[in-house]
Parts: sequence; structure tokens; C-alpha cells
Amino acid sequence: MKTLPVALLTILGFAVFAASAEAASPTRVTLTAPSAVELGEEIELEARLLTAGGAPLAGAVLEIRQVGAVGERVIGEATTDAQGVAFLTHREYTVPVLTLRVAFRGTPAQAASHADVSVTVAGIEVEPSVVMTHSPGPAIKTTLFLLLGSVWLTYIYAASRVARVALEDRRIPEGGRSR
Amino acid sequence: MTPTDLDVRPEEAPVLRPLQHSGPGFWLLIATLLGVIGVGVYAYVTQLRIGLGVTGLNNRISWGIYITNFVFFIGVSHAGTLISAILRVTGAEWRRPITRMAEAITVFALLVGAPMVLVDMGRPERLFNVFLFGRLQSPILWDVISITTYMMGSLLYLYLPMIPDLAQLRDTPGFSPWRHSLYRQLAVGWRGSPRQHAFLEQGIGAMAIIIIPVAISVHTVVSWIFGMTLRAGWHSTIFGPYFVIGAIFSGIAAIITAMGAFRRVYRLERFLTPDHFQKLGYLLLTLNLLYLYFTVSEYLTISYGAEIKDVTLINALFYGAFSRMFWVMAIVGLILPAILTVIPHLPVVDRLRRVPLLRPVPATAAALVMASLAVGVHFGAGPQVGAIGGISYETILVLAAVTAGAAVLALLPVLRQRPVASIVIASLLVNVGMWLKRYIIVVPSMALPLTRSEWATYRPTWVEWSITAAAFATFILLYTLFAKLFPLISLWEVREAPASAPETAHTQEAAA
Repeated sequence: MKTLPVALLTILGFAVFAASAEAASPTRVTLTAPSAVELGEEIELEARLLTAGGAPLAGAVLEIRQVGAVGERVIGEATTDAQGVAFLTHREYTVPVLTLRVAFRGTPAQAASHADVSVTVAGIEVEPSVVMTHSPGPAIKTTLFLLLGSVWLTYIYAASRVARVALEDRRIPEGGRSR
Repeated sequence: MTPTDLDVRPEEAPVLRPLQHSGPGFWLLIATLLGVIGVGVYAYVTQLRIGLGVTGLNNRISWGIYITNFVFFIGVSHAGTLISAILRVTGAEWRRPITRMAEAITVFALLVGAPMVLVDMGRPERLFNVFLFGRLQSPILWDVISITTYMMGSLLYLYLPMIPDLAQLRDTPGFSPWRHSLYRQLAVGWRGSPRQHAFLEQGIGAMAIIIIPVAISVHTVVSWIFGMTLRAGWHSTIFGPYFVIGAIFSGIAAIITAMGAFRRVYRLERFLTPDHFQKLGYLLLTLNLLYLYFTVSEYLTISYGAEIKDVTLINALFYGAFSRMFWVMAIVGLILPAILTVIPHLPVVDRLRRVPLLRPVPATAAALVMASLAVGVHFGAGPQVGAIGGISYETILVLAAVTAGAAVLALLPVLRQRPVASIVIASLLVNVGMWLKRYIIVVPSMALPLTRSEWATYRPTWVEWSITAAAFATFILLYTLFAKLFPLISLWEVREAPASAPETAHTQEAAA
């Protein structure tokens, strides 16, 4: 009957886990951030981590993440002060409309939470300007015509040499001219 | 330098003899060519009268063997201009006897190849729409502009070095009055004075330099007609250089073929020596290897990507509907010519004589019998039911391939003793292979299903084959008439060669 103690221990373990999970109190993150910045300008986010009752959580690590279409990546972190406030910064050079997330991973006592903010970065070209036009512009047309023109000018030069050969025949005295 | 010397020298008589005498063989050839052209004209009139419905072309495959011919002839046109110009610019002395033959190929190939697009259009008067409504972003317009430019340049480049020889013909008695008048007009008063000579060299020099980029651009633009289209097998960044290399390759093959034919018929052995064939053979081999490199690079890249449309095309080429044509192209058009070009340098080939089964006559006879049997079954009972004496069609095909391979092996030692013949045969095979290559560039990509639909089918009709035969006949006719009116060897350029060059050629010929 060795299975009985094992079963009892398993049930006990689940009970402890369930009790601890129930014990994690909910948290929330609030964010203050600029809605638009210039290219490369520092984006400063003021994040506040609070309990469900509104009490600040000090000494907690908050991560700042960039959220994209296929996932998110951590780009920095900061620790909250006595008021539950942490300042996180980032500079953006490539993404024109940036979604930033400040996340608290949670502890056994506090549940995880996060908040998102969208920041527009001025000065980064968006897709319409990189779409190829379907008609060549004046610069391309001019280049093409210059290239083609230089070829035909060379032909004209070569033809003019033939004309010079013919004219040269007339310079030769009558007796020596072609029949 | 003797451009002022307008008298015919005794050793130049073989070059001028065809201009003065025409045997029955010449008239028979002309009659045959005119007959083939006549059938082609009838076929074209039928197509004009009834419409493109008389061809195998359809709404899916609108480019068939007409566009294959177009790309083939534009490729052949690279013979003259590019090769002659490159050899001239780099000062290769051995070029002198072959430049005019090469330059003439360019002009006639363009004259025959360019109209193939009109034939494919069905309604030739719609050509004017290209000029009336043409858009600069259309590769079709680029093609019209570049081919027109190339045609004009090639004509000039053919004509300029002919002037001194035309003057010599003008001053040679014995021609009919109209020919004498023609030579007089075209010679533009050439007397061979130093100043005239200087002017001529300036013109030739300028044309030799400008025609090289023009020739490269023409075949690049032809490739862009395919490459700019988002279609499997066509949309490739290497198509430009791939087509240019292919064009030079088939151009060299065309020159060697023409040289081989005229050397034999007009007895030009003194001018077209084995040394010329050997040097052009080296060029042919180099271009062959380059073309192989591009072919492997192209197919490996798209196979590795393994997109459905690409894999479908590759399967059709390697194992499917177009595989026979593809492998014939690869073996007959690339591998076999490479072997034929190098066998003069492979003494090991002589050992094949010791193999009893590889006697040239029986091996060739066996190959011919098996090939005839395979062709007979294919077009007779049909490959699906064909069986003779219980032997299946596939077995006959395999036996034909084995005997053909044995025949090739048996003939190698014979050809090793005849390097000129070996290189000429290699060039003929390259011509066949490059035509097939153009076909498998044009047709399979159009036959490929773009959506979830069936493969398109295409089988050229008698109209297309007749017009194609007429195109080739026209090319040969133009070239033959040219050879009757003008010397195929640039006499004044041969005279100007450094004194050692003819001796070297003569010595090498004697040694060979």
C-alpha cells in the first residue's frame, strides 16, 4: 500500500500550489508617455505599478518591450521607487508607428500585468514613398536619350568619314580619279 | 600596307572566282531555297488570310517557334559584330580573313530574325501601334529601338571595311555593266590614298568601339522581355548576361559553320586555315563552359528556392513533358560540342580504335538503324502502342541511345584526325542546341499553369514549320547572294597583315 502516501502527498502539493496561486494579488500598470516624437528623440515613459487597491509597489522590476506583428522583444528595464514609479527610455530610428509595452512579470505574491502605448516617430518614411512609379521620370528619360543619341552620333561620324573618302576622290587630279 | 594597290594578286583568285563564275550547284541551291521560301510565303499568306488560328498558338501560349526563331537569330547576329569588333579592337591579327563573313552573318540574321515578331503578331500593320502608342516603360519598345539601332550600326560596320575591296572590284574587268555600276557607286571614289585610308580607319575604329556595347545591350533587352515578366523560368536577374553569353556562343557557332561551308565550296583553304578553326574552337569551348555555368546557376537557384511554380517548371524540364528536348539540348548542344572541341588535344581518344565494337562504319550503321526504328515507331504506331517483335518503344529508345553513344565514341578517333571537321560539326550541334534552348525558354514558361488549371498545350502546325524553314532558307539565300556579289574575305585587310602572319598560318596549315 505504498501508493496511498504518494497520492496524499500529490493532493497536498496541488493544494499548496492552488493556495499560493490564489494568494497572488492583482496588479496594474499605468503609463504616461508622449504620443509623438522626432526621429531619434528620447521617448521617456513614466510607469506606475499599483496593487488592485491602488497602493504603490516599490522595488519591482518593470520591462519596456517593443511590440511587433510577430511578437515582442525586451529593450530595457527599470525598478520602481517608493511611489511605485519607474522611468524607462528608448530612442527609435526605424519604426514609424511604435507600440511600446511596459510589463511587470509578477511574483508569487503579485500577479503579472502590463500596459501599452503607441508613439508616432516623425521623419521615418512610410511605404507609399518607396513604391516604384510605373513611368520613368525626366532624369531617366534624359539619360536614355543621351545614351541613344551618343550611339547615333557615332554612326553619323562614321558615315561622315565615308563622305570624306568620297570628297577626297574629287581632290585627286582628273587623271588619277576613279573610273 | 597596300590599300592603294587595286590589282588582283594571283593568290587572291579563289576569293574572286565565285564572283565571276556560277556552276550548276549554285543555281540548284538557289532554286531549292526559293522553293522553300515559296512554301513559306504561301503559309504566311494563309496565316494572314485566315488568322493565327492556323498556327498552334493560343491564348495561353502566344509565343511559339516564331519567337524562338526571333531570339535564335538575334543571338546568331552577335557573331559578326561583337566577335569581329572585339578581335579588331584587341588587335587580334588572325581575325582578318574571317571578319567579313562574321559581319555579314550579323546583318542577315537581323534581317531575318527581327520580322519574326511581326509574323508572331498576326496583324503586321499593328507594328505602327508601337510607335503611335508606345510607352517608354515597355520592354517591347526598348526592343524595337535597340534592334533598329543595332541593324543600322551593323550595316555601317559591314559596309565600311568593304570599301577598298569594292574599289578593287570596280577596277576589275569582266563584270556585267550593272555590277560594275554597283561597285562604282558603293566604292565612293576610293583610290587608296593615305588620306582616304586615314578617314576609313577612323570610321571603322569608331564603329568597332560603339558596336560592342550596342550588341550587348540588344541581347540584354531581348532577355528583359522575358526577365521583366513575373513568370516562372523568366523572372531572373541573370537573364541579361545569360542571354548575351548564349548569343555570343551561338554567334561563334554560326561563324564556324559558315566558314566550314564556304571554305569547302569556294576552296578558301589558303585563307581559312586550321589555325582559324582552332582559335574559334577555343572561343566556342570557353563560351560553352560559360553557358553551362549560367545554366547550372539559373536552375540551381530556382530549384533551391523550391517555390511551387519553379519546382513545377523544373520537373517539366528535367523529367516531364519537355525533358526530351531539354536533355537533347544539354547533350547535343553543350556536352557533345565540348568534347568535339577538345578531342584534338586528347590522345587517349585514339585508344578507342582498339575496341572491336567501336568500328566507325558498323557502329554508325547500327545507330542509324535504331534511330530510324525509333522514329518510325513514334510517328507510325505511336509511342504508347508501338512495339516491334515484342520489343517495347522504350526499349527501342534505350537501344537507339546506346547505339548512338557507341557511334559517337567510334567516330571520335576519326574526327581527332580532322580537327576542322570536328569543330565544324561541333558548331552545327551548337546551332541545333541553341535553337532548342530558346524553345525551352519560351514555351514551357507559357505552358505552366498560373492558377489551379491545366498545363497549356502547344504543337506547331505546318504553317509555323513552313515559315520557320523559309526564314532559314532566306538567311542562307541572302548569304549566298552576298557571297556571289562581294568577296567573303576582306582582301585589303589580309594584305595589310604583318608579314609573319600569313607565313605562320601557312606553316600551321602544312603541319596540320
